[in-house]
This record gives sequence, C-alpha cells and structure tokens, in this order.
Amino acid sequence: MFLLSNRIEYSYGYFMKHLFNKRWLLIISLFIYSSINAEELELIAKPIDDLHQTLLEAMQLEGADQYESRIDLLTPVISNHFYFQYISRIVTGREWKKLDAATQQNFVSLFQQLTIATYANRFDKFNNERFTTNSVEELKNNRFLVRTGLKTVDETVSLDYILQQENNNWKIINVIANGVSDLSLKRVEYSQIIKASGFAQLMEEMQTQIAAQIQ
Amino acid sequence: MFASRLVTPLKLITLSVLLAIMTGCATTGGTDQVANNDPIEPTNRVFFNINESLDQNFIKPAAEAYVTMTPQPIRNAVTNFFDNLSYLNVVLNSFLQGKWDQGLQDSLRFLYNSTAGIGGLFDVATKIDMPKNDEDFGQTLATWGVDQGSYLYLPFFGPNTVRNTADFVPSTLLNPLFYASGIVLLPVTALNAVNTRANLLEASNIRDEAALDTYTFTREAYLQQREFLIFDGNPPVSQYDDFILETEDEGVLIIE
Repeated sequence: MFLLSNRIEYSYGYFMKHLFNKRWLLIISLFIYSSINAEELELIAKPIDDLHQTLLEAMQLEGADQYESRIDLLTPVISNHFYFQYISRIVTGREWKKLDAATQQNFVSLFQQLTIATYANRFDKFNNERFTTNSVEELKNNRFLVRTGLKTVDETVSLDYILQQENNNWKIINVIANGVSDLSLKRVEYSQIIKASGFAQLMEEMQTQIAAQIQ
Repeated sequence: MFASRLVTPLKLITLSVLLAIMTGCATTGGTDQVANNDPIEPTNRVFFNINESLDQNFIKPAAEAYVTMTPQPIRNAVTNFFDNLSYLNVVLNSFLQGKWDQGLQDSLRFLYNSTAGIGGLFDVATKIDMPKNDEDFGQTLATWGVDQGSYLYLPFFGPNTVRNTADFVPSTLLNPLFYASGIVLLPVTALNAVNTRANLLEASNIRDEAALDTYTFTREAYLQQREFLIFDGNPPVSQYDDFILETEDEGVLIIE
C-alpha cells in the first residue's frame, strides 16, 4: 500500500513536472513569493541561463587540448555575469581597504582569471548533463537567490546562485554547490593565507593555481 | 575475527581520545558559528598532515590502482554492498528524526536491496523510486537541538565535529560487519576502505586543485556540507547571506 501510494505520488509529481514548462513554473512561483514583476525576474535569472548554456557548450569542447577554446568561450560570459569587484572585496575582507587602487585592480583581474580557468578546467567533458532552474527567492538588501540543479547520469548537484545589481545589471556574487558556498569558503581560506603569509603571497599562490589549471 | 578485533578497538580508542578532547573543548565550541569553530586547530592540523601523508603515500595510490584494475560495474556493486550494510543506521536515524514515511521507505529499501539486490550488490530499490537517503546520528542530534561543538580532525577518520562523533556508536553497532568474524573480514574491511577512497578520488582532486590552504578548505567545506545534510539539502538562505551582511557592516563593501 505504501509502495502504491508512493508510486501515485511520484507519478503525480512527474505529471505536474511536465504539465508546465520550467520557465512558467518559475514565473508563477515568483509571482507568489515576490512583488517583483515577471520581466524583472527574467532579468535576474538571465545571467544564470547564459552561464549554464555556455557551460554546456564548453563541455562539448572536450579534453585538455581544447582548454584554450573553452577559455575563449567562457571569458566574455563569466566576465559579464560575475560581479568581480564586489566578490574581491568580500573574499579579501578587511585587507581590501589597506590595498592601493592598483593592487585592488590586480586582485580583481587575477580573481577573474582564476574563476574562468577553474570553469574551463572543470567543465571539460560532456555526458548529457543538463541544468534546471528551480526557483528564485528574494534575500535581504535587494539580493536574490536562484536555485538550480546540474543533472548528471549519477546524481543531481544543487547549484544555487546569489545575485545583486551592478549598474542596474544583475550579477552573480556567490555560487553554492551542494551547500558549500564558494564565497564564504574563499573568504576564510584567503584570510588564513593573508594572516599567515601576507597579501603578496596570496596573489602569488593564485597565479600558481591559474597556471596549474592549464596543465 | 582478527579484523573485527582490530577495527573495534581502533574505533574505541578513537572514541576515548575524542571524549578526552570533547571534555576540553565542549565549553568553547558550543554553536554553529564559522568564526570560532576550530579551537584546537594546531592539534587538528597535526592529524590532518599525518592523514594527508598516509593518504598520498599509501591509500590514494592503492585507490588509483584499484580503479585501474577493477571495472566500473564491479566497483558499483562493491559500493552498493557496503552502502547497504551501513543502511540500518540511516533507517534508525530517519525514525529518530521523526521522518516516519522516509524511515519506512528506508526499511523497505534495505530489505529489497538485501534480497532482490542479492545481498545489496545491486541497488534495485533506487530504480523503483526508493532513493538512497543520507542520515546519521550527528544529523539527528542537530535536529534535536544539540550544538555542533568544535571541529575535530580525527586520525584515520578525517573531518568531524564533536556532535558528529556520537554517530560512531550506532553506525558501528548497526553494521552487520561488526558482528562478523573470520579471516575474510580483514580483506573485506580493506576493500571497503579502498573502495570508499576510490569514490572520493574525483572530489579530492577537485579539492587539491581548488584549495590554496587544504586544511582550511577541507574544514569549511565539511562544515557547510554537514549543514546542507542536516537541512536535507535545503538550509535556510540566511546562512549564505549573513556573512555578506556582516562584511557590509564592516564597511568593506561600500563602493565608491
């Protein structure tokens, strides 16, 4: 009986899942949970859609010999859709204010290169993966959380994004994979390195890390 | 019998060490705060370095050789077998957390995989919509309101928290291997260890590529991952937002 009711529940879920396409479900859920209009919600989710679409294309440029092609493909999308200036301030914490403008800009540029190199390295083979956008939730201080999933053959990885505006454009400030926040992890890790070895050492290690992604 | 006698004292010794550490740090840990969650970091780092060294020199190469020599379907069967043996702990903790439907389903999953899945070698339950759940006594204690306590990096067992060490008792007692005896138990235990490490090869390679300070990276990723599991993959969003708000309060994020 339990199994039967369970089957019915899953079948119902399956039916509902395919009754509406995901874009409509997203818009409906957003109308329920938020006072933001549908057009704005589309704009909030757009950087994520663009990123996911480009990642799928990058994954089809398989192998180490296509690393540079993946970099070329990902660079404009990641550069446009991540708020690197803001991210850099968060991950460097109180150290940020101590840096001169040129060093700050060098760090932003280095962090951007590291992000692009990491994506190009990780998303290097395609095995029918697909992304789903599940919901959008409003956070404090005009930030939004977009919940998505990456479905692979074996599992679904939860990928959540926090976005906020830069000059009226919605940009990604954090990626949370299966509950692990990249931003908070880097903030703690970087502050540890700055405290132990200094800011110059942090930048040196980031450069080494970028070089290692290419190999 | 030898292996079970080896494994059990090992766990008991670890448990004793833990209890000793816990009495020292239970009062300083206390909450789920990220800032002050590692009061015994120097000790933890020593164990971390020992484990990493053992792993790099022995366990990881063994796992890589195992992957090279063993076809994927066989490795899947080995993983399924050991997962199924440890699943009674999931069943118990689903019930202890008041997830009655899930607990019932987990019980059926265990029975179905143990019989139709030929002793758990095949995960036939997932194919009929009885997915694998991830529960343990650490998560149960969290749902009961017990504080996380300090972060602990344990010899052999790796990252942990004071709260989570309590899981050693039910996970050991509910695993049928604990009651098994005979010469076969030692290779079986070794196979479990190597297979588990093999399943983590990709994750550990990603960590090694991504981390600048592997100790800190491991600790933060582990603690966040535990929160994710405690909330069954749906932790409160404030968790991801609060530290940004704190940074804003520090005045770092004022964009001129």
